[in-house]
Amino acid sequence: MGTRISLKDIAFSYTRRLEDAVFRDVGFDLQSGEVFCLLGPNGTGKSTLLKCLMNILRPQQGIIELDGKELSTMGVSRVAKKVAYVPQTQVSTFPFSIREIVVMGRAPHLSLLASPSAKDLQVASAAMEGVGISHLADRSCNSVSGGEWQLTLIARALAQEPEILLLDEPTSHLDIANQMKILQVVKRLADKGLTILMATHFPDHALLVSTAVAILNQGRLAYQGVADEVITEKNLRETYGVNVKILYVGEGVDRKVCLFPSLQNTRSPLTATGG
Amino acid sequence: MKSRFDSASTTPRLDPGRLQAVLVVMTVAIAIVSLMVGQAGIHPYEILRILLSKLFPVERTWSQTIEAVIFDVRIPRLLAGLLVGAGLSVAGAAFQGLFRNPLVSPHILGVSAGAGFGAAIAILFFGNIILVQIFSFIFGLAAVFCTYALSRVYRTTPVLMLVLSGIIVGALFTASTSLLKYIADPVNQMPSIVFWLMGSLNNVSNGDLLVVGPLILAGIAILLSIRWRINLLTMGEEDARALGVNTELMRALIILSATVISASAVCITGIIGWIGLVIPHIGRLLVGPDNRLLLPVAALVGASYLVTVDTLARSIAETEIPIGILTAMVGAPIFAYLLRKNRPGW
Repeated sequence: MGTRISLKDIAFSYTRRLEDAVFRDVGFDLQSGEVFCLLGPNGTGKSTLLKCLMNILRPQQGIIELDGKELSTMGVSRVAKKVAYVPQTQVSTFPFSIREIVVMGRAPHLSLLASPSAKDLQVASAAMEGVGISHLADRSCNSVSGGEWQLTLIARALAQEPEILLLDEPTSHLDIANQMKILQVVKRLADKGLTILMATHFPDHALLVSTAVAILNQGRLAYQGVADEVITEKNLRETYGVNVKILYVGEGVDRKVCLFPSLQNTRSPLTATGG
Repeated sequence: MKSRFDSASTTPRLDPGRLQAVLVVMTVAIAIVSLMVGQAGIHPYEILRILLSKLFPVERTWSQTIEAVIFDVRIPRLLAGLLVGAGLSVAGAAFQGLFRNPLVSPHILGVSAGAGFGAAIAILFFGNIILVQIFSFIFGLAAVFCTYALSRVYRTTPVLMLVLSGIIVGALFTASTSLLKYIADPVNQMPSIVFWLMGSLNNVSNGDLLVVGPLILAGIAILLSIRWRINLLTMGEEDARALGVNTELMRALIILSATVISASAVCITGIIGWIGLVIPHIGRLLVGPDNRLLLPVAALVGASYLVTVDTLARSIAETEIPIGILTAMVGAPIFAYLLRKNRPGW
């Protein structure tokens, strides 16, 4: 299928003035079947960029194309049939059941006046099964844990039956077991052929699941390529201002890991120019 | 995020289909009782015969006056109670979803403040009941239009700006109404303004219903037909757009429908508070937050509640008690009791 989403020289500003742009000159291609990880410090606009890709926000400059068609000419519902978005959302104000939340993913396939049919409920059930939360279906959404809520939002996105999945820091605020659970789900979806773009704070997670990585820093796309080339000690130091170690660990880990040096060291892990 | 509540499940306590059937029967029963109660002291059996005489040949044993009481007073009043109760409840439920806030009422965007001002102007300068209705309707719509226009001036979160603009516009109209009360003639005009603001189903005529009834029904029909999508809006603007919802269109549809309902209700009954705020909550206690069930249930509960309260208002004392007072006095304790008993999860 080749390129699914392509960005050319994107700039976005919340004030609509380019001087205040969150980021500019951002360009990359999301290839079919990729797991593309977007790294970058807090506040560099990773979430903003994902929202531009969903047509929720309109960039002031540049062109975004979805399967070769300019995104700004497409309605939100046409985008949502192909691309699903897992936001960082607080639990709903109202105590909807998990099933009611997940079936909301059917919205792009239903007309303005329609309600979900039995078939839509089946799709929602399959989506819940796919991420292992079928047992939560009748639970109220404000009685589930953070990890379960994140899986609920992923199930809602899967109920859209998308070809492309955008995830905004899906592992933030979760304990390590839930982080692994989410990453396993992401990996499994990628193996099934979904194209995935994931914003994350953890270089380790990019090393675990990504096929491509980009680092957004100070409003620019600083690096992009395969994880091995992008996630290096030098690049992370330049991006985050921290001295980290990247080592290959055997013994049951069998991968590169990203490590912080001991805080007892005379040299602070934060570099002089840090932050 | 662990459960703060005893029951973690939102599955309704009753089968929704059966509950709706029970509510329909209850509404019809309350409507019939309401027709039979009143100061004229007509025997219920006679009322039944008068009603049936319109369909079947029944021997006429009653006076023209009594027939007029039934068809020109009680029936329009009953229909107004049903329509306004259902309309305000549905509008309130839809607004609570749109604004993602269970404390919102249909009056949040200033419709009643505007309508009150319009009515006060008409009472002060014309003293004509038809003009009072027309002015309150037009000013109710105009106030919401001002709110909507004002909210577009700011660029941030549209829903939050709508609420704040509604508070601004509402405050201006309420203050202006106070000014009109202050300059009004204290013997005749001021009491009429005050009574109008307290609300009553007393003055509703068949003619009013012919004009306003279809408007309220149209508003209810639109909100009911998009009720599943209101669920999506409760997830927030950005989430809803990501799910493919045209949020501008939805927002405009909901505001337009709810405003037409409220302005129509206010112009024939004056300001009846509390219903649009609390009936949706009672609906949620019965069937949970899913608007597919909530909106029809709120309509039925609201209709029967307003008719019940109106029947009380015109029968418990020698003189009629303004309904705006009773809706809160009867409703507040019921609501407090239900909250304590059910502990909803919002």
